Amino acid sequence: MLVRLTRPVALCLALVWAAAPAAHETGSAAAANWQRIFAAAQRRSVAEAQLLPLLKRVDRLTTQGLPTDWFTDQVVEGLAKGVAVPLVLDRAAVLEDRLVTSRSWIEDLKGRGVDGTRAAEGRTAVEDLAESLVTAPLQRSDLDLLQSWMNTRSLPRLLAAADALSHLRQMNVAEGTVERLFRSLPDTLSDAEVRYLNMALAAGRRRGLSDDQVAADLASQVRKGGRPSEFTRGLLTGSAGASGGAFQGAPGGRPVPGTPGPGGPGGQKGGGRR
Amino acid sequence: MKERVDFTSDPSLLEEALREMARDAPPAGLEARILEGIAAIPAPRRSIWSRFAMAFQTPAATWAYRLAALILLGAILVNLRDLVALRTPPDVPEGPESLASLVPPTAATCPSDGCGFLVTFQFRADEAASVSVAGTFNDWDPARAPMVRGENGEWRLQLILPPGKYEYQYVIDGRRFVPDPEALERQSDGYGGENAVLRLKRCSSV
Repeated sequence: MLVRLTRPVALCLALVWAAAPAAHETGSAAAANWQRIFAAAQRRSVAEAQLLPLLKRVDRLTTQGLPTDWFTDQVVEGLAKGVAVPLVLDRAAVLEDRLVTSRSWIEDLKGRGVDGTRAAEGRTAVEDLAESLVTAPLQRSDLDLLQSWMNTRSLPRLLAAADALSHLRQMNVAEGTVERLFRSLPDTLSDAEVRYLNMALAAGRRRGLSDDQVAADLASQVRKGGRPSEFTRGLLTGSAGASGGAFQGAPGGRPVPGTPGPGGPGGQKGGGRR
Repeated sequence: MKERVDFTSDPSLLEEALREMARDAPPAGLEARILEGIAAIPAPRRSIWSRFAMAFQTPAATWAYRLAALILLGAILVNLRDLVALRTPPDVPEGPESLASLVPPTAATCPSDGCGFLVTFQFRADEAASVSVAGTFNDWDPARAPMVRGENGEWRLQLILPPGKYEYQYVIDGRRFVPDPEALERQSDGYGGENAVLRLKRCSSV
């Protein structure tokens, strides 16, 4: 009897042990995010009982296999800023809805042959698209438009474009200008650079330039191998844009990113003063 | 009464008898009677444990054992990795929180991987008793990134941040969140305010 029982019991133990790390990782991720929510609430003296619906949502997202980090970021932000808990709860409901929609759209895109993974900047594809959906009310058909404008089947590129599009929509840029912008992008342009399209237009507006003018200049520059980020810098420093100058200098706004050299704060670039 | 035959005296008689038996067909209905007899035998009473154990004696269970062995091997590898990680804790803590706390406002060190950005936050607030930066890089906790007051009410802080997209606001006197009016890119925070957006590309593409 003992011998007969050994194998099934060993099988059960093996399965439990094998599942333990995955369950632990999922559980610890949720626990870590709960802890972040607690910490933010504590700083604003929010009663723990009020947090229960938020914690339940984190748990539900985990159960559904959806990422929780971005969701928690947004919730923590609200609590840290002292936003009333009912408003944070409303926001949480929207965020959860966008995450579900985002996953559904991405699965649909993958079913239509769009592929590639999005692991950059520590954010998942679902979270990336969900944030775009929160920024502006994009439609599923917008992704098809972006796909046809850029003639791409790459998911990371579509997500980058959706991010830029959401900001362009938020800025109320004319649809014709938006289409021209995306159609002008060469395949060789990196996905990260696609996310700078809206910044280029924002920089142009700061200089009093029309969106059409900036879009035309930008299209011309990227065709020659230029990058939207450099174009934006040029606009801010007055060395590009309507006059089409070279891309030089640092952004005038703050904060000022610089590339540190080894052993010290080298590479820091100056910023404008308020 | 049938005559008894002594097979030991003549082995050929035994061979003949065996040949005769092989030719004879079994009586009609014998097979059915045997099956009925077997069915009539009461099944042995088995315990729950015994039945549970028998379920694992099937060929399908054998495959399950093989699968379990593979899973077991994977689990061992995963746990070994974790054990090794536990034995060698990182010297430098990871994450924005540790970066903010490790970097004093007036100096900066290059991250060990050489791929971080020294970001200078500057904000003018003459009347403020304290100014901080709160954002997605420090869980919106002003206490983690206090700025240092300079001349003419200019507050300043340098942070090293890895590539990524960040949102932030300045926090005056620990309570009042204000957007950076000079930020090029802003984004609604979903709570009626606006965050400044900071995008740091990977070093290779800068």
